[in-house]
Amino acid sequence: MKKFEMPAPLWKRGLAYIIDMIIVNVFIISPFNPIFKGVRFTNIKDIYSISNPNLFLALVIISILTILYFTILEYKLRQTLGKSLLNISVISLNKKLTFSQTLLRNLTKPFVILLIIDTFYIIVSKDQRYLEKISKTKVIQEIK
Amino acid sequence: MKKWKIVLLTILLLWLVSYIVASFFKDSKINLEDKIAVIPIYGPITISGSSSFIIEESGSSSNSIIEFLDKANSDSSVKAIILEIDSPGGTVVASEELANAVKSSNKPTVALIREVGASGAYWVASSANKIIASPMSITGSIGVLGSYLEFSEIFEKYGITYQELTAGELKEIGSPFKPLTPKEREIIQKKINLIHDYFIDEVSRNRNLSVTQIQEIRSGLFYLGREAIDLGLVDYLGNKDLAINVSKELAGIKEAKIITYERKVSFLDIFSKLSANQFYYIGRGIGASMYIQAKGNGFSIRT
Repeated sequence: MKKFEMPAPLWKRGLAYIIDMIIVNVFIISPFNPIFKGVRFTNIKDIYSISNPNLFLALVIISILTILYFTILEYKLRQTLGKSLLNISVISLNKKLTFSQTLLRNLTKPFVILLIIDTFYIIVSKDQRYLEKISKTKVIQEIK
Repeated sequence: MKKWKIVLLTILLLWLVSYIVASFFKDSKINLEDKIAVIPIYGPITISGSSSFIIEESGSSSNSIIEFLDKANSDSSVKAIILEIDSPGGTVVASEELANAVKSSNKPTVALIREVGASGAYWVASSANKIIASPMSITGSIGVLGSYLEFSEIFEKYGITYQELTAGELKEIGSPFKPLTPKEREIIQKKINLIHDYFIDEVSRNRNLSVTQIQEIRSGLFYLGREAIDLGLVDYLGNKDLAINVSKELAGIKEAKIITYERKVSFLDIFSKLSANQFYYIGRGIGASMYIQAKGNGFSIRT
């Protein structure tokens, strides 16, 4: 049976991201919870407090692990857990999806504000975030 | 099947890395920088603060200071509060409001008396957990003062008569244009005594004073810091450094950043205050000031 590829709808991509972030919270962030006691994550000054090197370092490590979650799975399977559940996947606009392409397209994933800015590009391009445009990748859904 | 294996393995691997790295941080306490908030209380304490800028002496507004206390109490990084006091006292209600706010603070509080911390300002200081003063600071003066200017004899000298038309026998009590009758004097004195008793009770309770100590301070006399320590009115003699160290000890911290809460004066504030004062002084005359005295009876009670 022939399969048709079309850009994944934004709601599916959003929902897949939420599912993935739940996984990230449970498996990557939660081990750090006991040492984040007293930090108000609603206060941006607290979160990016450079005056506290330990807090800054922990946040950098969490960000790297979050990027790796998206990068490894998309590189290996073209899908994260969220994308797999919603039946959407990543494709390269070149020949084969490379590790550097998946790394580049996921650089904004841990930072919600940057991700929102990145996503605004969809208004112009219709189906690509800005980093997807640069990395020459796209998220599609297959219809049989 | 292979796909789910890779997903599971990746998640497990990242969880393991995260768990191992997090265990390295366990001993290093990730807390935001601890802070000690310094709240200045300068000049007479009133509810709104006699905040005349540049031209007149400025005071402290109990409203603003209570706002600062709330801000410090709701900031989890603030571990202790220092009240830096240089005030001769203030109005009864403003002093009481402020004292209650200090008492209900959920952070350790330390009062540092600089030049003067007397009367209503001492009432506020007594609500703090610890009081520090310089040996030469003026403190105490736990009394109540009711005063006004009386012009009746000047009026008599210049042949001016004051016509009193009132409904209510004591409505004009404390008028600057007539002498007090013995009955009026007795009534006002009773009210001042009531405030004094309340003031003494509050300070005694705050400082846990003995009967002998209470008898001593009842006179309303002021004391130097070195005398006040013997009377139990002050805990330590020292300066701001000592206040910071005592605050750290009460908060159970070793290092802290000192931050001062002050009302920021904007350019617009300065401009409006200057122009308001200018117009006020242009328009004001002797008649106007007499009107103001008469309007408020000119009588004030302060601690």
